[in-house]
Amino acid sequence: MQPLMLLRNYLWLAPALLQIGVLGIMVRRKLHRRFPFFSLYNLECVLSVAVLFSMYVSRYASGEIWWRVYLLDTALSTTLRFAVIYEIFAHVFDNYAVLRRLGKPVFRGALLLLLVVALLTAVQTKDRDPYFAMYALHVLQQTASILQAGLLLILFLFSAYIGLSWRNYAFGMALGLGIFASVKLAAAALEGSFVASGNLYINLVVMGSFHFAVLVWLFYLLAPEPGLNRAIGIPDHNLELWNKELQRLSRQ
Amino acid sequence: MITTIVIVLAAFATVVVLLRLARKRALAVRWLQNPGAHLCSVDLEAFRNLIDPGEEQFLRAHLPAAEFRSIQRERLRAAVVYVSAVGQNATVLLRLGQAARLSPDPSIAATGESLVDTALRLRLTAFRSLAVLYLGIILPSRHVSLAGLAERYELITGQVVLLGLRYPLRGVSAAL
Repeated sequence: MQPLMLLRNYLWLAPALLQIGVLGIMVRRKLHRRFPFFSLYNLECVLSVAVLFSMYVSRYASGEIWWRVYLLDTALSTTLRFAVIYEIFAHVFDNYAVLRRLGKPVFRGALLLLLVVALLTAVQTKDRDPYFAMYALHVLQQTASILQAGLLLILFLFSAYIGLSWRNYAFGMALGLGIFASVKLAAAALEGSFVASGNLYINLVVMGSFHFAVLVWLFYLLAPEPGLNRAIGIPDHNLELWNKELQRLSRQ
Repeated sequence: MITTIVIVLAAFATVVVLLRLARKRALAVRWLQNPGAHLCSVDLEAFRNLIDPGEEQFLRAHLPAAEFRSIQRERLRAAVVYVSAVGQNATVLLRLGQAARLSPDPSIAATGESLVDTALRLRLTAFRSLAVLYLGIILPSRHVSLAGLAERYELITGQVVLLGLRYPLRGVSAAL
């Protein structure tokens, strides 16, 4: 087997194996109840890799059937990614009583704004692909990626500006998904204009970015949560500071 | 072709921004080790004077229109500096409150929760106030109202003192 093919097979299978680990950690920490769509998304990815890879190595599945299953998987995983992004939005905003009512309007507003941008770029896209189905797939993937990467970027920038801190797992989910969506966006744009669809190198970059995203999820799921005790450390006899605070209070 | 280049560059920029934010988040833990160092001192009385509607009314009534616009712009620019400092302090206190609410001690967690609420309200008020101030700089004849900002800042100072009583915060309240 050629080294590039070997690398492709590794990038195809390894993330799915790691996602089994992600699912295991989520179930053990009962996070699957808080993030049902993220868990479902990981499960869908694992199952789709199992089915598509088996069909790929099997002699009995035709190319047409493989293609249909691939399209079904693409539609399902893209829909689930939107659900995951909404789940992350809801989690970040629900953590703060003051922001709770802002979550849905911010999500809808951002989605509407990005939809306009995505539709404008879709109209501008001139595809070289002679097959309409491939052209439609590129435009849809590009549109979905603009929406996904844009939504996550808006959420990150809003949180950074306001100073919201995220729990590790939510931050990891959004970061991994954001990087993957951005790379997928660049790939969809390039495949539509500069390179032929199904280009191996482009596929390897997209698969590599998904592998990286799964590693990010694992890292943030396993990393300890930063807290006040860990960050500052409790001094045993800091009487001087206590005294200063008391003096300040008595002056108020 | 231009659209494709723009999309690819935007996607690349998004990845860079996301990675930088991840790095910034990791450094934010260090912030908590010495939060007082990141706070800006705010002279609340001077700020109140700057945004006092009576003062604005007086200047409007006694100065020629062109001079009033020029002075009002200067006053609003100064207010921008104050509001930015208030916003920066709100962010530091928000981070502090967020860390405190994870504390196993229920009283620290409750004070942290309350601090988060006030800091968030203050941050959002500062954000809105900045927009109002910039609009005022563009249109100086327009009346500028920043109701509630100074009061919220005072409220948060009290909450920090309360948190400091239960948990030594290395001079945070003194720095406010």
